[in-house]
Amino acid sequence: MGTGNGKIAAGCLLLLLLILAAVDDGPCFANEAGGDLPIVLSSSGQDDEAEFADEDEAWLMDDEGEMDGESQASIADPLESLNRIFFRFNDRLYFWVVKPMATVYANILAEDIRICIRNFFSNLSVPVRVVNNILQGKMNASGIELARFAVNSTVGIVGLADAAKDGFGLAPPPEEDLGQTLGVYGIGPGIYLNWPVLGPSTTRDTVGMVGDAFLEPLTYVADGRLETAAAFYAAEELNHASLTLGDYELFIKTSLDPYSAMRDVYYQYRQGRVNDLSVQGDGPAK
Amino acid sequence: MIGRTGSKKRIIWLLTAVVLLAWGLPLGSSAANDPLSQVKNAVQEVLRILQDEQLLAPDMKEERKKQVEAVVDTMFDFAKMSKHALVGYWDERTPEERKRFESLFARLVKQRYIGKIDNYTGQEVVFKRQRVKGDRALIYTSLIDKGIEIPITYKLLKKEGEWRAFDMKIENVSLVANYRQDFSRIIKKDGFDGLIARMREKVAEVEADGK
Repeated sequence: MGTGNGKIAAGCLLLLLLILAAVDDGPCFANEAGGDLPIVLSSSGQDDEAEFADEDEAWLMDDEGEMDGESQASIADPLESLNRIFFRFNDRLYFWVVKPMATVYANILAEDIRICIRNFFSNLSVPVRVVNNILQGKMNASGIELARFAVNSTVGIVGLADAAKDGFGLAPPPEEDLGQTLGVYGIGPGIYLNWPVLGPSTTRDTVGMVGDAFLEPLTYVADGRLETAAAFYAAEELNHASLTLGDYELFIKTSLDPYSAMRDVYYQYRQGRVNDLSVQGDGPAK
Repeated sequence: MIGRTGSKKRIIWLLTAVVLLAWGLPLGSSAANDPLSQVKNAVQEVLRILQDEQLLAPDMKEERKKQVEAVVDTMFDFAKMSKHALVGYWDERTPEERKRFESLFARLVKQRYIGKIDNYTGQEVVFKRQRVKGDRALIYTSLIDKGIEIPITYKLLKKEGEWRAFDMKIENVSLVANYRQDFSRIIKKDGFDGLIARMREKVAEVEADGK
């Protein structure tokens, strides 16, 4: 049974590659920078204070010493020794398996095509983002997600191209997930967990990850067969790794204690996502 | 009626805008005391160096890196950055210790953030907006990398009439805060000398890799 399903998955991937070969110089990239320097100055409102009411703004408005408002916040890590073991495992997994594979894969497939594959996976995960946008009361963003799904699945050929952004000006809203939704509802991150293979997480984000899996179409394609689900996950991760080669290495090399530096990065990043501190989606005026 | 007053209003508004622009333009483009244009000029300069075809030759690699680092040096205030990264330990350091720390920290930061310039593939930078109050400023930008938007915020302070960045947040992850945690952990364990030794080791490791 399992091998039969593996064959189907392999067939799907082959079909995907054939489609990609047909579209060749892919529709993924409509944002060629042209001859000029790739700088755009957004003309959107200069004084929209409400959007930036965060710690940086507090620092800006504060009349006291310049060191104030710098958070020393960090996350509880009672399982540190176990987490460190898994961190070392993941580190080896990256250098011994993922990186060599991703390097070969990157040499075979052009970057445009790998971006198309990333778009394909991202398009499939639309239920996760729509539901979590609704749960957070972001009706507008959930509508954009649905519209993007409709356009990208059709005009964008099963999600390979981001036609919604390139042709219709529908830029992707910030990606919402259940971990963030729970955070918005006031649930703290809990403790830090560094899962083998899956990497940095927290108790809250782990619950979120499991919940979101129920909204992932690939979960139902895998239909309870763990090896099929693992194959889908591996394919997406391999593709992702091929697009970010070098990032992890550089971070590890320039951190004094890579494990805790990574923990801190994860914590800061997720706090930012929960509080929507980024100004994503507020694209440049064209 | 409504349409006519509407269009009249629009014309007046337009005229005002033109006058304001004419006033603002020469000031805006030359003024070094505007934090946005300072960051923008620096970023523009880095992008120009990265796109310079002459510097793409393999034997120009070192030269290219040197030029980028020179721009980064004018953009960032590494002394201030060091002070912020050593909050709680800075005051008790001697001037020599501060100097030593600053030069190592600057090298580490440059290794992390310009280590990727060899892989530059036409990333775009979008300037979203600036927020200024007194001698403090925030510049919100985005890096568009392979179709994905990565928010980057610069924190600046004005010193002797020049705006210099002392922190940068990528996806809400602060450079200074991240290193601060890293440093304080090592100081608690091995003291300040242990930290310096560890930083030396790291910097040398990466430099050996690059060759």
